[in-house]
Amino acid sequence: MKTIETDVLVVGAGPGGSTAARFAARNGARTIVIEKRQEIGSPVRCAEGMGATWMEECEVPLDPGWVACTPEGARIFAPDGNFAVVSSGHAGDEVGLVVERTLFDKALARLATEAGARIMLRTCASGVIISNGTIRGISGNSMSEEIEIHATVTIAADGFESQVSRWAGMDTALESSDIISTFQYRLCNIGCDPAYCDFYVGSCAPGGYIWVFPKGSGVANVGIGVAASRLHDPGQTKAALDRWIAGKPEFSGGQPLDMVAGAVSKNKPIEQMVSEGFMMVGDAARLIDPLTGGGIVNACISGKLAGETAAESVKSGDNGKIFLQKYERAWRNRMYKKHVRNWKAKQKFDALEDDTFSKIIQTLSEARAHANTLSMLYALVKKHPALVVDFIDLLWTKG
Amino acid sequence: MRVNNHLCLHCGACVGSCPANSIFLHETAYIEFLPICIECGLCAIVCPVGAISPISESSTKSGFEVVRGVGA
Repeated sequence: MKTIETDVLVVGAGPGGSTAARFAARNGARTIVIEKRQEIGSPVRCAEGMGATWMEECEVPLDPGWVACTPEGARIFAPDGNFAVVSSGHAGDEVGLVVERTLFDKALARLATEAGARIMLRTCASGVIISNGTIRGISGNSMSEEIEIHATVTIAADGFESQVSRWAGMDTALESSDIISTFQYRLCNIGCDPAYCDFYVGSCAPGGYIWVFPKGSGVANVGIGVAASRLHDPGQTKAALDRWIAGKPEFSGGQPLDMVAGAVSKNKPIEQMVSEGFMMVGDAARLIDPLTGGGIVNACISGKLAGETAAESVKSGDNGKIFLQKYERAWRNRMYKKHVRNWKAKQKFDALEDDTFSKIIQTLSEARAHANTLSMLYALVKKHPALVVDFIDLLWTKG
Repeated sequence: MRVNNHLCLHCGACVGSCPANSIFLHETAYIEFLPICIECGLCAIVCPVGAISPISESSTKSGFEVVRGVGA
């Protein structure tokens, strides 16, 4: 068996892992990223929509090479067919870019290597090494060879599967009401407006939504997310999307270029994201936005914060939980409020009936001429005061 | 539990949902259920394409394979 020694080990080369590796390496830590697949960024498990406002913070240069489309806003369609438009300016964290994940992930990995990180492909962790209560790295398999990688700090970035954390004794278990089962086609030969990311809410996707994210040239990612607690039969997620697509005349000539499945967490923030010698980031830390289902931005921001703390930990010679909690505090300062607010909003939206969704969106669409949060709220208060009472506590906790 | 390998897209939805952490995805080839599986069935409901079902159901349907845990 082969043994490798390093300062920081990152498990998973998605956006969160590559960003963590980049900031650890840049701050002087010997850093290795392991990736169990043979190719970074593939196969894609993502709707590929995100905002652009976080990129400066994470020092990610916008590269036309991985941008597929730059929609100017989002349209939210009610069950009755009405829609409200939200411009990228008002939802900058959520929409504005549709990317090619196969290229985007490679670009982030490349940035990590430029900072000095080393990548090991087809290297799969199958357990963590624990010594005197401290995580000391992973055991696994690299290109058919049994290996151990020993590290001062191990960062779990293994995505929704979130197994490394659980091996390390962290609690990332989810309630079925906090799991969204998802399925998506990349459809070509369809009619879709490249200016908008479209969302369809209501009983077409209980506890979630259907999305149509344009990729240009008559191609779009068309997908569905449904809360696991609202599913009863095997394969219901894909069947619901197939049924919805069949009812859309503009998709009648559509053909699939690929199929993507996956799951998304939409939980309250978990209590602990670090332990002795160990941190977790992104989807693995259950940091997906509980309202929008967006994971990339939170993964990159948490990756940056974790990478910086990991490097400091190596420098100081202290990899204890108390030291690593610096990352936890930084994450809480940066993202906790919004995560909690969006989780609360999710809880409320989950309970809405179709006609309530339609009423809200009708009102928002009428207020569209001066669409900002205040004017929309004003219009809602005027028309549906009872609804606003339900949502008012969310508005006071804007993070 | 067992996996229909003709349907499974190896997406990992079942892995992250499993309360016992008993499912392992060998990228990108096959899904493995470990003996610690508690047969709760959440993975079968979460699976977006309906590729997972309890082992007790008829396994004569084309494409189904019984998946053994480690060491079995």
